[in-house]
Amino acid sequence: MDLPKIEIPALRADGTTQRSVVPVGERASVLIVDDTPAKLVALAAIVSGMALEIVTATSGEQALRQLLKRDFAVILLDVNMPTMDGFETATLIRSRPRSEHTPIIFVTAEAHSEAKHIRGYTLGAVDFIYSPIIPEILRAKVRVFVDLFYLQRQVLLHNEHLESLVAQRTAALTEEITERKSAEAALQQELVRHQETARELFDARVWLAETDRQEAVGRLAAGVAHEVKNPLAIIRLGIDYLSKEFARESTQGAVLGKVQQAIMRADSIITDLMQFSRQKSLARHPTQINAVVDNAINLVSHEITVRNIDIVRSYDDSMPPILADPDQLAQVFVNLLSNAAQAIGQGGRIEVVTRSIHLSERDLERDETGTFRIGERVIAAEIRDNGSGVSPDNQKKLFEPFFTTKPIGEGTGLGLAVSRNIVIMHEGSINISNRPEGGASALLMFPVAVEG
Amino acid sequence: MKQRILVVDDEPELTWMIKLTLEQTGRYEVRTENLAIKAIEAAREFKPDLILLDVLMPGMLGSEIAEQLEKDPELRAIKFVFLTAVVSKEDVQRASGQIGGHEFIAKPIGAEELCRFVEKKLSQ
Repeated sequence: MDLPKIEIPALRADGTTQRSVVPVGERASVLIVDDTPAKLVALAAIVSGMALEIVTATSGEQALRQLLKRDFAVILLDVNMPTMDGFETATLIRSRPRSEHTPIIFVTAEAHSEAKHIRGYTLGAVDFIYSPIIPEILRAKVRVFVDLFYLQRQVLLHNEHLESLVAQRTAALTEEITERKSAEAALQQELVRHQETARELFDARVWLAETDRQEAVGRLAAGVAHEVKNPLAIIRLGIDYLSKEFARESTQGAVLGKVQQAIMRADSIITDLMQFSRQKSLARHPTQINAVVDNAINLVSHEITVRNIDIVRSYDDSMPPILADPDQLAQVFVNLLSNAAQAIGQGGRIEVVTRSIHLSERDLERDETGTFRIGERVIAAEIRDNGSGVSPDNQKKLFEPFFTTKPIGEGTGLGLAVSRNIVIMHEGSINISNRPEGGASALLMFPVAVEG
Repeated sequence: MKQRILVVDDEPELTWMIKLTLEQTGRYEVRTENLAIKAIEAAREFKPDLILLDVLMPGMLGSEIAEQLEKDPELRAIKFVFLTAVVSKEDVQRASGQIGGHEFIAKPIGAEELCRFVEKKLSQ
C-alpha cells in the first residue's frame, strides 16, 4: 500500500517548527487584512520570503470576497478597522462553513486589553500578534499555520487515498466473496451430482453383481436339481419297492417310511431352491391387489379351515391398480397367510387390510428396502395375525434363505426369501414386525401403477 | 399277455429301478435302454406298447426320439411318456413345448404313482 509520507514537524524550543513539512499541491495562501495600505505592505513584506501566495484586503468586506474565491492557510486580521472591525469580520468568516476553521491571527496594538483578548478567543481566534510587530515572531506564527495547512492537506489526501483503497479492497472483497459464493454453490452442485452419479454407479454395480450372482446361482441350482433329482428318483423307487416287502408295522417298514419322508423333504427343498434362484421374468400388468389377495386366500383355504381360523377382509375397494404379476404376487400372499396360520396354530384370526396411503415418516420405518419417499402414494396390504409373533432374534433372519422356525420337514425356509425377491421385483417393500397388541403384521407396499 | 414297456434313460440305476417297480406288479414286461441313439433300434426289436423316455440325454434328446417314432409307420402306434427332472410350472410349460404337448412324469416319482400313470396311459 502506497501512502504519502507524512513528516511530523518537530517543535523547537522557541516554539517555531523546523522547516520540515513538504508543501503538497498548490502553495498555501495567506490573507492579510488591514485598512492601512502601509501596514499591509509591511506585513506582506515580512511573510514574502515564505513561499506563500499573499493576498491582501483593505477591509472586512474585501476579505470576505477573497474568502469566497479560495481557502487560506491563515488570515492576518487587523482588529481596528472602520465600518467593520476585525472582530466583526472574524464573526462573518466563522459563520461560513468553509472558513469556519481557518486560523485567524489578530493584529492589534492594544497588547494588554483582556477584554479584547477574550472577545477574540470567543470568535475563534487562534493567536494574537501585537504592534510593533517583530518579523521573526510573525513569521514563526504564520509558519505554524502554514505547516498545519499542509499537514491537513496531506492527511486529507492520505484519507482520500485510504478511503479509495478501502473502497477498492471492499469492492474486490465483495467480488471475491460473490465469486467464492458462486464457486461454492457450483461446487455444491457438482458434489451433489457426483454423489448421485456415485450412488447410481453403486446401485448399478450392486445390481450387476446381484444379477451375476443370481444367474450363477440359477445355473448352479438348475444343474444341481437335475443331478439330484435322478438319484432321488432311484432312491424313491427303490424304497417303494422294498416297502412292499415289509409289513408297515415292522421296524424295517418304519425305517423305510422315514426314508420316504426324507426323500420328499429333499425333493421339496430342491424345488424351492430352483424357484428361489431362478430369475423369473414377471408378466406385470395393472392389477387390483384385492383380487390377488382373494386368490391367495382361496389357495390357503384348506389350511385356514383345518386350523379353525377366521379371515377378516378389510379392503379399500377404490384403489388404483399396481403393476404386478398376479400369479407371482399371489405366491407371496400364500406364503404370508400360511405363515400366519402356522403362527396361530389352532383357532385364531387373520385380518387382511388393503389401503391406499400417502407415506408418513412412521410408515417409512417399515420400508426396509428404502424404496419409497415421504408423501409418496403407495398401495399397502397388511396381514395381521394374533399368533405367536416374531422373536427379536428371528426378526433379522426372517428373509434369509433356509431360515425357518417350523419343525423339520414342514418348511424349507425359502418361503419368505422367495416372497421378498418377488416383492422387490415389483419395486415394493415387505416388512414383518410384531403388533403392540400381540401377533405379527406383514406389511407390503407397492407403487401405484403409472398410467399410459 | 403282459404289456411291454421300454424305459429309455441314460441312468442305468434308474432304468433298473423302474423296471423292478413295474415288474413288481406282475403285469408288465420291461426292457431298458441307456443309450439314446439305440432307443429306436430297441423299439423296433422289442415292439413295446409304451416307452418311458427321458427328456435330457447325451447324444439325443427324448423329443428327437419321439419325433422319429412318430414318423416311422411301423412304430407310430407306440405310446410314449416323458421322464423329466423339471421342477416348476414354467419348466413344465417349456418342457411341454419341447415335447410337443406330450405328457410327462416328474422325477422323483413314487412307485404307486408311476404304476397308476402307466396303467392309465396304456388303457387310453
